[in-house]
Amino acid sequence: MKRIQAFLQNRPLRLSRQGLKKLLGRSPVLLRGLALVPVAAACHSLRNALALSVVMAFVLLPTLLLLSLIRRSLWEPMRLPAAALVAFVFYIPGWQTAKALLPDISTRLGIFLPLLLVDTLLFCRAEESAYRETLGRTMCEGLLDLAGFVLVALLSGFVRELAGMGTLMGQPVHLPWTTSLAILPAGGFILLGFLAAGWRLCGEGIRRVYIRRSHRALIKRQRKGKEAEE
Amino acid sequence: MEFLVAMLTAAFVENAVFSRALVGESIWKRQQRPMQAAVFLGMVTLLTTVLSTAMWGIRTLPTPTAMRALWEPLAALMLLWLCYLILYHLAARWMPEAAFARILSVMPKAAFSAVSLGTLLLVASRSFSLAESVGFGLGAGAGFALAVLLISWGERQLRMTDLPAPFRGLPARLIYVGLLALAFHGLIGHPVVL
Repeated sequence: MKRIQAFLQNRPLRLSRQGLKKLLGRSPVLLRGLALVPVAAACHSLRNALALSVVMAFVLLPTLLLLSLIRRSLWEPMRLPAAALVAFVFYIPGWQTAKALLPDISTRLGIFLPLLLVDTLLFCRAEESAYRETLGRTMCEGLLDLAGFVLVALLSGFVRELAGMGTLMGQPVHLPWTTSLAILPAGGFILLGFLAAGWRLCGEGIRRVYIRRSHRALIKRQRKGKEAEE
Repeated sequence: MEFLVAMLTAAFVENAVFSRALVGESIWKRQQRPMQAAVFLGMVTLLTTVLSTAMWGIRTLPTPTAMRALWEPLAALMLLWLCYLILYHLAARWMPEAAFARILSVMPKAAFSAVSLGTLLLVASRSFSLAESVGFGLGAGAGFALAVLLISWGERQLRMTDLPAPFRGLPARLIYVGLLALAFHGLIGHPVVL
């Protein structure tokens, strides 16, 4: 409890420029291939993507918080199984909330909703942050990963619903063509492959602009320094 | 016959990776070390087979329909926990230290993988007979192993190909898995409207 209070008082959560850079430079789905199961298989409509994002938010952040607090009392071989069990505790309110938003959630998502309990995003964040880093850092990393997941899930849901069914949130949109490939897991994988390549290309472009700008600023500073010396 | 049909269905028609995308980060990593990959795949197949049988038993217990959506994942998780604990203690007791260390590095990820939990949830949601449950579990594990082998083979080919820089690594792998999934989808007779 003291750790939570200290964290809330001394280190308020804010999306700083560093955080934004991290968000763009480290998408868990597109750069590391985490959480592929829900995105590739189940995010073929915006509603599914929203439901999965809500449940993921309920499961990921509180699980990381609790694991970070109890990490010292956990025996090493039991860390991963403990993460799955703790996640189930928070899965219940997540499922209830998602069910309130979408009453037919169980038939829509089937096994893919409980599969969030053993999601690689949760396990990787638990292994890399909750069991090693401070509470504040764990929560920041968890938030960034969650934002990255939600962004890709919604993007995938939007594109696949539009291309696969010609609808958006169930409302028909008149398109010249639709393809059933978009709603299959195969279409999900292919779309994610292209999104990952596009994301990498954008990241590289942004990095180049950033380097060019900082290089120019450095040259300007050096010139000013020389002028001042003269 | 039931056993065989369920096994072939799980391995090909409803392949865990290609028809349900039950992949994890480990699917990309394990291929680099053949021994670890073999242990991982063997363990996944063993777990899916044994636990599907156990899940068949649990499914027959009376459960209120309203609670089913929460009861099934809880029962599956408990089964995974139980099996993991038994395997851990057996391995700790009977295996040499080096082999135990090797198996311990893959055991949690094999037990708590999407394919293990996914197979259990699928068995729980269907009205399979005992033979079908065992066959489905075995087929799911074997299908997963087949998918990993195919991905591993493709990975080697992709490494030798001169791809544009943004597509190297994960993007190329994802597109390759997507094409394989599409091939499996077509192979079993489903049409795709383009």
